[in-house]
Amino acid sequence: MRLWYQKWSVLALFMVLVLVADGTAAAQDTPDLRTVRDAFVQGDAKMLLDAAGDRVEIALMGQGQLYSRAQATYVMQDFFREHPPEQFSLEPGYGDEGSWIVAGEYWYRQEEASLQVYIHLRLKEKQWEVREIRIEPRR
Amino acid sequence: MPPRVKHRLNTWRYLGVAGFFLLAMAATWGLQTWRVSHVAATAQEQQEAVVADVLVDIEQQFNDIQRDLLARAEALAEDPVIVQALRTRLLGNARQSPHTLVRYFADIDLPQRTAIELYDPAQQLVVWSGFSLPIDEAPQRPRFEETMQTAIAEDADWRQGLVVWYPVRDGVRVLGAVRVMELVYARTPIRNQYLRNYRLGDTWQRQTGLSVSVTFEQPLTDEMPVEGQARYLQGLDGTILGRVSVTPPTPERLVEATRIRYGDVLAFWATLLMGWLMAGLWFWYRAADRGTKQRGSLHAGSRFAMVALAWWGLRYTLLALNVPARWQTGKAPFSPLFDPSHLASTLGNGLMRSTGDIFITAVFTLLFAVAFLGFAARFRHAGPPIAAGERGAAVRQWRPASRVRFFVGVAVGVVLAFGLILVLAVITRQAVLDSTLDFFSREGLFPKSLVLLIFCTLLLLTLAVIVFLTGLTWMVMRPAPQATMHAEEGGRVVLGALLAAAVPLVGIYTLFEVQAVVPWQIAMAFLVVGLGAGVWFFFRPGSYLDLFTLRSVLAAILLMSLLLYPLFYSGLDTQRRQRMQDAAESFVEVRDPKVMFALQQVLQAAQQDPTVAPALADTAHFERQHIYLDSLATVLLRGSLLASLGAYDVSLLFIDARDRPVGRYDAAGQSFDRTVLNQVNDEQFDILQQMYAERGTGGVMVEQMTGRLASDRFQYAGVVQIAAPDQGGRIGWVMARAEQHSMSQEGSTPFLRVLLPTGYSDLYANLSLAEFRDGVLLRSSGRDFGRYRLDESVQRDLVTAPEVWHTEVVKERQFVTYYRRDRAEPASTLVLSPVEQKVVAVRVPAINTFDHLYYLLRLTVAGLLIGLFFYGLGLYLRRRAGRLPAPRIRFRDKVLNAFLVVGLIAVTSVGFVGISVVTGENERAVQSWLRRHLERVEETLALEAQGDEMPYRVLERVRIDSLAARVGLDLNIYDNGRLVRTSRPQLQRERLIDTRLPIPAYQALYLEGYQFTYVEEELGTFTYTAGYRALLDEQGQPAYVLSVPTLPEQERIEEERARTVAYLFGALLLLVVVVMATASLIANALARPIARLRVGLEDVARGRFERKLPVGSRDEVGELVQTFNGMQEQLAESRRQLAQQERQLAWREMARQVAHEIKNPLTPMKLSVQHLRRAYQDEEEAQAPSEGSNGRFSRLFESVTGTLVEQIDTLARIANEFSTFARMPTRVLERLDLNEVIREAVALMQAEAETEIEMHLAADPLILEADHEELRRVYINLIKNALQALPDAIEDKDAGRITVATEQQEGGEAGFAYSTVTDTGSGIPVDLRDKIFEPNFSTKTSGTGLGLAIVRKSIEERGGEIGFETEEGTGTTFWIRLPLVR
Repeated sequence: MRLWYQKWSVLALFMVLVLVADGTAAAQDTPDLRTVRDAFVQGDAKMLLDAAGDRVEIALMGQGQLYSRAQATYVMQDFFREHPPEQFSLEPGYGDEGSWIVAGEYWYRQEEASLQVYIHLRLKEKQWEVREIRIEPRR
Repeated sequence: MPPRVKHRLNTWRYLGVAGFFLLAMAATWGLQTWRVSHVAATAQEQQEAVVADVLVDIEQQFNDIQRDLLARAEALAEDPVIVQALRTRLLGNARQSPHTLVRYFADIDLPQRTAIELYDPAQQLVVWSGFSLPIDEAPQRPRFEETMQTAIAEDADWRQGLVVWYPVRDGVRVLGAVRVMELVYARTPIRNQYLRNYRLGDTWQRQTGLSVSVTFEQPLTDEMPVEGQARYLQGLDGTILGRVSVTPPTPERLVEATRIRYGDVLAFWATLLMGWLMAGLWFWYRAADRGTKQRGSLHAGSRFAMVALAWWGLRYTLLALNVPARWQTGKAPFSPLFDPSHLASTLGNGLMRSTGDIFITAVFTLLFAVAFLGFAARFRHAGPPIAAGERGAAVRQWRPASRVRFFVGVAVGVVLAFGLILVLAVITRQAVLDSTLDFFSREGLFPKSLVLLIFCTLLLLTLAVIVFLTGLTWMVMRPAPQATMHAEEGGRVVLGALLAAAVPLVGIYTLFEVQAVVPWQIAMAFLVVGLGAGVWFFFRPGSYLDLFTLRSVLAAILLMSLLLYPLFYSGLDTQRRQRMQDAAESFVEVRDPKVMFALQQVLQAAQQDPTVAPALADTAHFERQHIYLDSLATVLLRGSLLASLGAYDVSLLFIDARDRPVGRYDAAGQSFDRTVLNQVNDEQFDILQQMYAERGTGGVMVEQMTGRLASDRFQYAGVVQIAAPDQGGRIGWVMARAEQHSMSQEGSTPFLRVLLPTGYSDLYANLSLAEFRDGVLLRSSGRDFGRYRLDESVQRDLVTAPEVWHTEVVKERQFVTYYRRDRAEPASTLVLSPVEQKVVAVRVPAINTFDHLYYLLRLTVAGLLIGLFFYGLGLYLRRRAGRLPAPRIRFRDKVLNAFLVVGLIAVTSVGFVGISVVTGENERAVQSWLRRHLERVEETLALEAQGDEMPYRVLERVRIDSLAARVGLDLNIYDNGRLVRTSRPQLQRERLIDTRLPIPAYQALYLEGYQFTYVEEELGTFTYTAGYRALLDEQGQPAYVLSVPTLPEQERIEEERARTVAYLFGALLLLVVVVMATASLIANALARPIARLRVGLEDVARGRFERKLPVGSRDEVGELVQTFNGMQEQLAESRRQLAQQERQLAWREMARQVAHEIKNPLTPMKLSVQHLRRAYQDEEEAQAPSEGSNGRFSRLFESVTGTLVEQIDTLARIANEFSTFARMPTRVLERLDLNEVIREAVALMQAEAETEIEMHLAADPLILEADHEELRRVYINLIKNALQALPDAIEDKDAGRITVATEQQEGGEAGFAYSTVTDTGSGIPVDLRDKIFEPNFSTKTSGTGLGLAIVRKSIEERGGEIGFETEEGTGTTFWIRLPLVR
């Protein structure tokens, strides 16, 4: 009985530590762009916008709009369906006062040309949120 | 055919159809597999074939365009008006011919992106219509004057047009040439809802789905791409105009396209199959449901659950198959329905992923709700309707099967109902929040198509919720069989049900924060309507068909709209508040990382570009350096993120090794060489250079600086040092700068929102923003922040809360303002430290009552579309139920329908006229505004005039930008039809305004002699008005034309118009409601008394006269009811008299018969007896000696015969009485004294009386006219009745008294003789009183029962009245009133 109690206490402590550690990690100065990169590599709109704010500006091929996160998910889903990912690379970003902007290059199947991707993130309540996604043909 | 065989046959048919679908699917799948493998194996051939087809198709389309242009050009060139006008012009009458031509050209209606021009033989432009493009090279061709020519005209890199020239000839003489142009390429500096790039190649790309590249550059410089994938685009004259190349689809894409194509067919078969299976399941459910009505609801419930599961499974399967969205891609007409950029929500796992999908989901939901209602109908009360208005009476009514179960059911039902309402509220909210559709738009009565569809969708869902609630009510109210419930018990049950409903609701609102999503008032409204409908139809089965009448449908639409609107507005309000918060956040943002990043990118690219350094070093060749740097800047700027940030003015500055600027180039394509660069560039560069040196890290440096044009706006600037690639020494700098456009700035015209990129303009549209520091206004955008100090109440509120919402009235207009404290809250003291305070405020006009009415009306208009469908459905259902054509139309319905039609016509007319008036007034206001401002500009010029200097002379020497700044307007100046100066050079530079005067303005000012005119113009698809004013020279001819566009004011103008429209339609909705309510009231007021009259008449027809109708009004209808009541009384009296007469006649006939039949044998009988007696007496006398033996017989004989004679006499008397009743003896009328007659009667009856008959007769004689004998018999009858009424064995003889009295009464002509006969007998029992005068009535064992009947008959025939007053145990008084004679 005592052993059982100790085991659960340790587990609970571990969970608390994990949560605290996670919170600490989220409050970093620069955003972790791995999710963004993975989302573009996999063409996963949900993954991309899971970390978005309530409203996201998405400009595709010059046509931009402010969308709610839910709507943006479907808009990006449509984009990925029409432009299935082939390859994606991220360039070093630029950040200032809680904002971060990063550029990337997106190659999609069925076309040889690539697209230029810009992603703007903002730090809000210690979480980096995707605020803007711009995708346009490379000039 | 036996049913069993038929059933089997149907089953086989059903399975056969399903099998066909399965086979079709299998066949399609097989075909798909084969085609995919075939395409994969022959990919190269397929690629070539596809490209070849596309190229042929494109070529064909290009030729079609040319042929259209050629046809237009040829028609113009051969038009006699044009030929004659040019001929006249050549003859030297230059003034006359343009007049005709200008008018002719101004009247031509041109298609979009098309323009026409007319030139004279000297290539001088004579007249035009539409946009302008520079002259192309066609006129230089040798055969230009002989035949048609095609060419491409280019306007820098902004626009390209396909041109067709056609000579205008007069026989062999050339009079000129027609030039018809169509834009094939147009670039806009930014893209938003009004401004879009246009490329002919894009159109072909969309049509073909392949990457199509079209080049129209002249001359074509690039090499031809791979053979077979490109083709020259030739003009109809054989000139090569361009080149089109098609990128062949990759093998993967070919395979994918094939798979998708066959997949679409597969999805089609699968959809049909699923639909078929669902239909089968439904019919199975219905058949099983009909067959087992008596079984428990558990079986039915499980069957319904199966159907429900299949139904929603079908919906999700369709979503998984992407049906029907997969059939609506690309150019399909319904593709916007399934475009998530309009609306998409993750709510429901895809049920709301597009506008079309949410609509389909709503249809699914409504059908499911109807099916649920069908299921719940088994719980409904099947008894007759409750009798209304029978308060307290025990009626056969509903009674719950079990009270406990009922109350629990109510509680559970309310929770479920609330859940449904909550779901609807969330869906409505998300439909607004997860959408980019403009629900707040106030452009007119009819919303745009997608908004309309969303309105319809939400109304369908609202209807579905009401249907669900109705079904739930039926289930909860499941009654006990054959039970009744008294009203008192019913009251207790209702009270208990209310409590059972209230408890969970209170719990929900207390425990959960649902008030923000569904305010309790809204929930209550839904519950009342839903449960009310449930209760109503619970007791009125079958009356649901009445819901499909036009009036019910309209009322239901209004009700649904009223229920939905608060939920919908809640979403709109949330969306608006979110946008205000976003705008505040964006407005207060000090640094824009996108711009800083973009500048960094550009500068890095410049630093890494190996050609920059040589270009900077090439100072010896000034011209070459300028051209090269221009090209370099274009490449750098266009390729960066800056190009898509339309809200910034972006420029690059190149600086040589001696820190001198060598050129500045901006993103719009404008460039300045070193000769025109101003001092500001040097100063900024000096500062940056100093900062760069201080930083000492090299590389790219980007900083935020004070604005160049306005100190309250920040700009971003960066610099990078350019080193020589080989030596490493510095040979120059590149400086990049981005400055945000001013939204509104004092002393200048505001930046045009129409030129803002999409997201930016959306965020700030219709908002006013302000930033306050220390309570003082620092900067603002928009028109609605007029005060320079922050309100103290706001400052106080912001001490305790970081953000507050205020509803404020500013100059009689109501606004909603969001205030946000941007810094950490001050120290714990409650006194606000003004030094710490930084507040951002966002203001928007509040939604007032008329706005609400307007939005509600738009929602109702959408409902009308649904209503139309339901009305059509109702027509079908009612016809099927035999209700159409209606056997009878109620008067109330007629009145209501008439009012409805009149109301709708009135409202439509008022709406139409109102819109016309508003539009007209708006147009006049705009004209007036333009005229006034143009006059102000001219007055300003006149003030600047020196001496007699004409205004146009002043205009020539003043700077246009300073003049524009002074008058606060945008200004354009035209000289002889060409734009020569503008205060918005950017618009001209970026080809957003044309450089030529619009032809209608030219016509009005130059030819028709007007000094002012206005023209509707377009900037992209943004419509605005421009006013034109001619500045006259000394000869009275237009020297220049001044133009003021409404561009900066257009939004305000549109907003004011929209507001007026909203108010108009809001008022109209109010009018509709008032008309409907009035119609209902009037119809009820008119119909109710008529309905009562109808009921009354029906009663009369049934012979029921006792019910009087209530008189509800004092008008003609009231009088009608009164007349009816009077008529009813008369009818009742007539009927009573008639019945009495009939009875009397019947009795008389019977009496006559009886008298006749009895009297005839009585006389011989009496004579025979008397004869026998005499004979016996004679015999007796003759046989006297035998007296002893005959004495007893003799006595017996005497006794018997005496009795016989006596009885015969009695019979004769009775027969006489009958005879008298049947045939009254002929009256002998005479004047007589009633007192005397009474005395005689009393004297006669006194002999029979055992008591004294008292008389109290009037002193004076009562003279009347009557038959003496008849009258005496009347009183004898009454006195006889009185004597018989006295008890037989009265001990005290004095106790039984009879009194006869007379008196004279006033009235009539000579008064009345009033007489009474009173006895102190037992009185007449209550149940006998009504029959006392009837002929067959008698309480005696002897007598005919005709006495009183004869009395009444005698009295009434003499014009008198008879009646009686009686009291049981006390006695009776009969009274007679007879008219006296003079």
